[in-house]
Amino acid sequence: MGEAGLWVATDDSGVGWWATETVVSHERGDSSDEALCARVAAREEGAFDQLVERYQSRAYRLAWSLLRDTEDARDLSQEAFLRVYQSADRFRGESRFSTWFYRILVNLCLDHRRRRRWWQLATAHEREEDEVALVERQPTSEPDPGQRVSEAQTMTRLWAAVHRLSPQQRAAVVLSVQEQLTTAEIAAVLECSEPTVRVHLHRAVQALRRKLTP
Amino acid sequence: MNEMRRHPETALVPYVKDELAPAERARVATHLEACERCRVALADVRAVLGALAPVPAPAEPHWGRYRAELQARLMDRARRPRWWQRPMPIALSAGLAAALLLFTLRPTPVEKPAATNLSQLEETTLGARLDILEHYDVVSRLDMLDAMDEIRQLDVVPVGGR
Repeated sequence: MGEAGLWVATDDSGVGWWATETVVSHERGDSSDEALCARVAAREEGAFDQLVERYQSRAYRLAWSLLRDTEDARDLSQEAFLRVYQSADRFRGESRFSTWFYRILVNLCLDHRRRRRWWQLATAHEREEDEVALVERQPTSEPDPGQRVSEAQTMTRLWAAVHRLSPQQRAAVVLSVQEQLTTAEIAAVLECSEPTVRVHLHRAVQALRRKLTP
Repeated sequence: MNEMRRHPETALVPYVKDELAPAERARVATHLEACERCRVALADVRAVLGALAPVPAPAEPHWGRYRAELQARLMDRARRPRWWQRPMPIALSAGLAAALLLFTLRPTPVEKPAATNLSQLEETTLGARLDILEHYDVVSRLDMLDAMDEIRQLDVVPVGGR
């Protein structure tokens, strides 16, 4: 699988924007993800490193999108790779490797969020401040800085609202918008039906629509 | 046909993302032509999905360091015995031993001797529920107990009869 997106901008704060021009290759054969996973299961030297290199960026970014914490994203994306290493022999190829991997990672992130929910509630004020800071971190090299800031504010407000959606809705939105997964793929990752994913996305859009107008 | 079928709101995100099967896509498109409410909802979906891109992302970590950490965790986990193979911590072992000792040495409750005959059983049963007796009028005439022997003889017909 190829790189999922293009890092388009960053600044000193380390936050940038990711263009959603997902490039997903589904190559099969020896170099496919599935074949690589089988080689990991056989403990073939170098296979695990290859798999990690392919997925590290996407895994880290997805974990960050679900958790909004760089340390947690680092920790849980690494944990997902460890789980893959430990249970690679149980991957039967009934789904794509990426779906299986996303399922492991998303479950880890959602469990982590559930466990830390009380803490997140306690630090809600700090988070609001972080969101404001995110706006200030946007690159301002556009021809019309005022409009650019306004758009960035809308985006920041919207993604902040995404963060406050229910865990399932949030995961569905991130997988759909950021990872460009189809409804069927999201259903496979979240282990629910397609109609359920449609309802999650519909409700998420309804909630986010209210945030579009200040 | 129910409301959800008439207004295919949950199909609008897949519709915008061009994921619907041709038949469903045609059905939604036909509906949209006739339904102002769903056209507004479709515009909302497009506005939200459009505003969500591009996606904010964190600065990427140093990938070499990231993989080195991962490798270290992998080695650590491979070395670490499974939980059932690990030696039990001293505090936990001591706690379990103390709990076992307390359980073994706990005071045995004194068992009441079982009633051996009917009268003992009656005594036991009635003794446990003496409060019931308060509801009986006869208890208010305890003086009658003095004549209980005579009362018991009332229904005994003397040999030879009257």
